[in-house]
Amino acid sequence: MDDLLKIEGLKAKVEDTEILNGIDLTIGRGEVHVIMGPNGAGKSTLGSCIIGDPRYVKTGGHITFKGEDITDAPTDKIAKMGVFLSFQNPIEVPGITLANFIRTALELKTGERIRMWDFRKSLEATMKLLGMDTSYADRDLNVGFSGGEKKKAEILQLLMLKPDLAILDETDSGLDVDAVHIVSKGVEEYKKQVGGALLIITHSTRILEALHVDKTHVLVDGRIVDHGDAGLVNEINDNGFERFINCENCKNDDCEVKKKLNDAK
Amino acid sequence: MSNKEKTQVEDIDRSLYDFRFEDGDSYKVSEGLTRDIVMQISREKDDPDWMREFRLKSLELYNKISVPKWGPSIDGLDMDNIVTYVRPNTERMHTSWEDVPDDIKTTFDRLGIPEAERKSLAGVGAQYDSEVVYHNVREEVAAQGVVYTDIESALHGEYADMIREHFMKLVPPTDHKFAALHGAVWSGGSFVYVPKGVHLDIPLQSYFRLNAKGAGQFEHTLIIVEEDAYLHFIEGCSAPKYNVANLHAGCVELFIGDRATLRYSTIENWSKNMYNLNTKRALVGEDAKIEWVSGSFGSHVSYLYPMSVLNGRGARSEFTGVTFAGEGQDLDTGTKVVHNAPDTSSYVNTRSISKSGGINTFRSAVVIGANAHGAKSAVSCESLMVDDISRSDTIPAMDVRCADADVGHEAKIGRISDDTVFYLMSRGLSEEDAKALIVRGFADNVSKELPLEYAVEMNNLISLEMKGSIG
Amino acid sequence: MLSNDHLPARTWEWLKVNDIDLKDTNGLLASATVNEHNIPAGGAGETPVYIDCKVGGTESPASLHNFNIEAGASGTVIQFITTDGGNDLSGDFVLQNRYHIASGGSFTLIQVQNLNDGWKFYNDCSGVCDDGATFRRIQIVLGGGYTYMGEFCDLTGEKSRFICDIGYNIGGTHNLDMNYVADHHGKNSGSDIHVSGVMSDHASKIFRGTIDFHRGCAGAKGAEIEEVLLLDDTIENKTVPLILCDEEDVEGSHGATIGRLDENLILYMKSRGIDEDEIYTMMAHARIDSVASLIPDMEARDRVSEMICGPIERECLRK
Repeated sequence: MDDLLKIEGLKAKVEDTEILNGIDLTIGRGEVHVIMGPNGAGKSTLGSCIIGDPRYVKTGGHITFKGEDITDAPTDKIAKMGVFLSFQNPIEVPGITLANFIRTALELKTGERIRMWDFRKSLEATMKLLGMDTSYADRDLNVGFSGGEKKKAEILQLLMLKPDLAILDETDSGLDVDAVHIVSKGVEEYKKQVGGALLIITHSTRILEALHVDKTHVLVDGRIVDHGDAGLVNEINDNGFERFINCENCKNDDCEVKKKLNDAK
Repeated sequence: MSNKEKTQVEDIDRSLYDFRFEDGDSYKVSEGLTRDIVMQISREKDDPDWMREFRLKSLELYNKISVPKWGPSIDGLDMDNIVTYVRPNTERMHTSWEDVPDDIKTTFDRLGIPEAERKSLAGVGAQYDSEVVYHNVREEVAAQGVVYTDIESALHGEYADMIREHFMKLVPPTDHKFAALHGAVWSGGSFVYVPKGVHLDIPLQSYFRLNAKGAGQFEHTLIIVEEDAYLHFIEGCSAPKYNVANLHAGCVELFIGDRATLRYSTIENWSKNMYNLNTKRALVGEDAKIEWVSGSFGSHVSYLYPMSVLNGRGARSEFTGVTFAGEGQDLDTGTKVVHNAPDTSSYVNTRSISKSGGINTFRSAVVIGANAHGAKSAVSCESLMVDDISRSDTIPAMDVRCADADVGHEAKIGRISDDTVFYLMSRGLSEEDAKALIVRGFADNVSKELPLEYAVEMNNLISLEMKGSIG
Repeated sequence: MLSNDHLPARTWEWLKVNDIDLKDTNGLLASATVNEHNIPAGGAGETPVYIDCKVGGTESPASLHNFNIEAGASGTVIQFITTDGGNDLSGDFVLQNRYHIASGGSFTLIQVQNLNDGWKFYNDCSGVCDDGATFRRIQIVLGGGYTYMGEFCDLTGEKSRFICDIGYNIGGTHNLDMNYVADHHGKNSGSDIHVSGVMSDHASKIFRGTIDFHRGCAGAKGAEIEEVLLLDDTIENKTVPLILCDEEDVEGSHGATIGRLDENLILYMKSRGIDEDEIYTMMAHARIDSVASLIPDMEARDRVSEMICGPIERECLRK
């Protein structure tokens, strides 16, 4: 099986609100997918569901990763299998340094001890690439980091942990031009060094400029309503989501509203 | 604040509450507490045998148990001078307001009780000294099987077994000295029974008035809310001021069935010669909920800690309280919560205000048992010092025996910010108005939980307390 | 006589937090020698002084130290309380530190306790801070059978300060009984008590922390916070944080968080492939480490790091 990630008919709710209403999505190894959609469409929920956030209850469908069903797998197992989710708001972890955190995660992933010297060298080289002051390595993870530093720390973890699938949730939001540039460079580097697949949840195109986008999906009301190539990104940037929200123009023929509209005709 | 202007805050204008009638005509037992007096009360009430035994046993316990070593001083309370039973000058309880004797009627009329009933209540009870003088429930409420009557009537009627099964089972006379006292000399109070699934949209109210001088009031409130039912019960308390000590040692026992909710609201405004040593407790079933809303304004000394025993999985407790201690007041208030089942949760939010030498103590205990997996508790208490002659203490305790629990606690103490007062004054408010506004806002955790009429009354009480001249 | 044996304001007896039984210490203290230490102004106090208490060997069962910190002087004392000899030793040990910090002086007392579980250890401390004086106390508790720890800091001077950081990791049947009082009398005095703990197995603990604002301490600020991580259902954890306030112009706050780790934090760490057991081990370690990192002396910090690696099973990752 060549598919890296396969999502079939995924439905999910948080508390009593249905957020995902049947998502189908397949990502092959090394592919770059972009998810766009208006606020509240369920984009972040999709990322949370893949990584197994227990607060989202899956009410239907399956998620398969590397051929293994991970629908109900615990988060740490999914992560160890090679899924990485960059958080919109990375959590502050007092008492654990950034370096210690990454090293522990790496050791647990590989099951091997990593020599301090080697680790330190590669960590510092990667930090320099991201324009991070190496003193951050010995600071408590995310504690007192600026918004930009937190996002860089996420990309640093991505480059160090080398996952097969990276889900970037609005990693570029709220950043200034320079920071976006560095984050983009980090993502590009990940593509180059690791060759992993990417699922990019974003509002903007800035982060995509240096990447070859294989597929773009439009998510509205918990459903994928349209697919396309990189061109769809530009179209949405020019015209917004109007045509996807407007049922008349919607291409999702499975939608109940659309069916009723068609029936009426 | 030494170089700044100060608000001279006067004692509250209590004229509304302070009128009183001479109690010359009423029947009462002699002062003090003896076996004879307890027997006399028991005869007077025509107690069943078990109740007479219960009283005598409680009296023994009362004599054995010592006064608490913690809390405000109750040295001013001499039981030898307290009259434990005063029967108002009326025969039995009435269900028609017209039949209530004139002086008692006038008292309650001035407190707005029957008016409130007509407006917004499903039923009303009124106790005057030791006896309930009036109980009435709306017909449509009674038709749903809801019972609201005095305990004595219930003790002799079809609910006699239910009373015996529950009476002082949640607050046993062994609990503390004043629970034992209550067990010995209790009189009056309310019995409420809400059957399965009955949802009362409008509240029931009970009003307690202690008119007699040097007397004690020992009413017992027993509420049973069955599965899936809902009740809002409101109690109000007041008394005229005498220069001798009065004692209130009531007892409230609430049994809340699975998935049921009981909201218990109290606006307490006893006069400032009152020792208020009241015990309130709720036993909460699966997915059931107790909501305590408590405003304490009166009394000379208070010991008041409504307790929630969360006994069923998913049981919840919410406690919202405000205590205002002014001149001559030593108010020790708070709450206790025992988490005795998994997934139980408690939420405590209290505010206290100290002024004119008043003493406030917030005291709490949150206990998480070893079986209370997934229990959550959040306690937040804030204290406001209005001047530099008052006092405010915070004495919380947490006892956690379960790793899988989430217990949080925060407390803050401080004064009214000069910046805020200045800001409000720059918008044209006087300093007094500004401070009253800030204090009302500070206490809005409680006022916004009360029915409108009561919230208005509470805000008026605060404004009265804050009234004074700027010196 | 150790007098700091009760909660400054009593509460319900059934909570069993009102009293601490310190009577056993009277006999031990009677035979103890008193060590007088004077820390003069002028730089000499910059080098930390080590006072090692190796209990069980030739050490007397009671050790008393009086510290006099002269005006403007500053000094640091590091006390390691460890067992001398085999693990089968047991007994009682009293350590009492008293201090007087004159105007503008500062005194740092660092205590690291790693006794085996046969020991009853009474660790008492009290003193006075004059105008502008600062008392800094750092404590790390890793082992013992029964431990009383007390502090009564009299903040009598204007702008005097008491800063206290405590880290404990207790397991077995270790019973830790704490009573800390910041007694504010001086104007603009300040206190800050921060307790960070981990409990496992059948350990029990009471933390009593009192900020007492007396009339006249205008402008005073006091804060106390306790964070406890609970690893087993067989622990007994009591927290009693008091604020007593007889003065209007003060700011006091206390907070406590008890129980498990925040679910967002757990999810975040899991999303990097770290399992729950590992997360708890790391965070337990981090709690003590964060207090150890406050120790201004490298040598002492290294000794603590070695000790921490013991009680927490996983290998020490930080160094």
